[in-house]
Amino acid sequence: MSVEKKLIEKIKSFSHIDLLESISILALSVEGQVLGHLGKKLSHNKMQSMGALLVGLWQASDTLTDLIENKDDEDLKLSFQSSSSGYYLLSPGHNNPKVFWAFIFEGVINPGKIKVLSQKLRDHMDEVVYLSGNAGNESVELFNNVTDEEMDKLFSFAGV
Amino acid sequence: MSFVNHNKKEVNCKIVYYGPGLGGKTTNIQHVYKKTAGEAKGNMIKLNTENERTLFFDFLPLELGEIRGYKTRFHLYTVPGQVFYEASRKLVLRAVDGLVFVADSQLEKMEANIESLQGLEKNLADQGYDISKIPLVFQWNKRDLPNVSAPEDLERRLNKWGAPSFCANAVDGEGVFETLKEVSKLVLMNLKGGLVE
Repeated sequence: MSVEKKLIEKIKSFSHIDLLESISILALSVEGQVLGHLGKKLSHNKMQSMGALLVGLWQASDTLTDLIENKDDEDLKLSFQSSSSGYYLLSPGHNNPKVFWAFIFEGVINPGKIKVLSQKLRDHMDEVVYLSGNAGNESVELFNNVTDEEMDKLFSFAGV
Repeated sequence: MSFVNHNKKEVNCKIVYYGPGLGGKTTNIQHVYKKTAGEAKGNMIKLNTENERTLFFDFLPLELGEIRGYKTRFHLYTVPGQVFYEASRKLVLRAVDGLVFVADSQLEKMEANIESLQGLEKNLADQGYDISKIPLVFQWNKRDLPNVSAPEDLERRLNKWGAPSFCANAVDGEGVFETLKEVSKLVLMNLKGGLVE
């Protein structure tokens, strides 16, 4: 089952499922790739941009906090919000140490509620065992060899 | 690190353009953006200073098509070239799958190229990477300018790994796709996560 399908199945049992009507949730890899998307629809381009920016932002903030003495690594979060719109980015849960959870909301009445529930939702979703979509063998090359013809085909649009 | 999704039959790879300030890294991916059809590219993100210098990174997602049934997605990043952005460069290098070192061919930029390359080696080593094990392509950029080093000199001074290299004039698009195509090939050939039959 794909990561996204697992997420959808799991979220059905969340007690505040109505939350999804007002927010978009992205599951992001530590490299900024979008692994799954729930809730309010976002365009593919917008999701990709958000993934790269949010994870870049996290890395920069994490490095910044390393400069702060007595940094507490427990449950870091990053947020940026107005009274009705913004985002929360939560650190990975214990089961899925390589997945960031981003909660993006626009035009909501009570962002505070989202803030509280986002952590609960992250923990709820963290119970899904993340298989990374990569069931392959890390010692086996995916393509073995790639021919010039295959590359020509990939880059045919550029005329090289 | 690349991400292979066998369920969705797609591979995601990260390619970073590295090199000294004003060497043409952003110009490279701007050209790629300009010449790539709408459906194959995402939004290009530029985190710049007021005077158009890269502050954190530029980002361009590309979907090039399929190879053996797998959809290929490349995320192109540039680093900020200016010396004092070392911490940002280090961050952008995280989970890198392939590198393009964009060298400025101008004679007076040789030392800046060397310094940047040394920084690259160090930043990779600090994060546990060995530059000799990462797909790497050199680009000798700005070949249109009059006071440039010979490609052989650039090879000798910078390319101690014997990596593939291309002459380029990124402003006019020369060598840009040749460079990207080569590093993409090396990255794809280096991908792990194959299925055992």
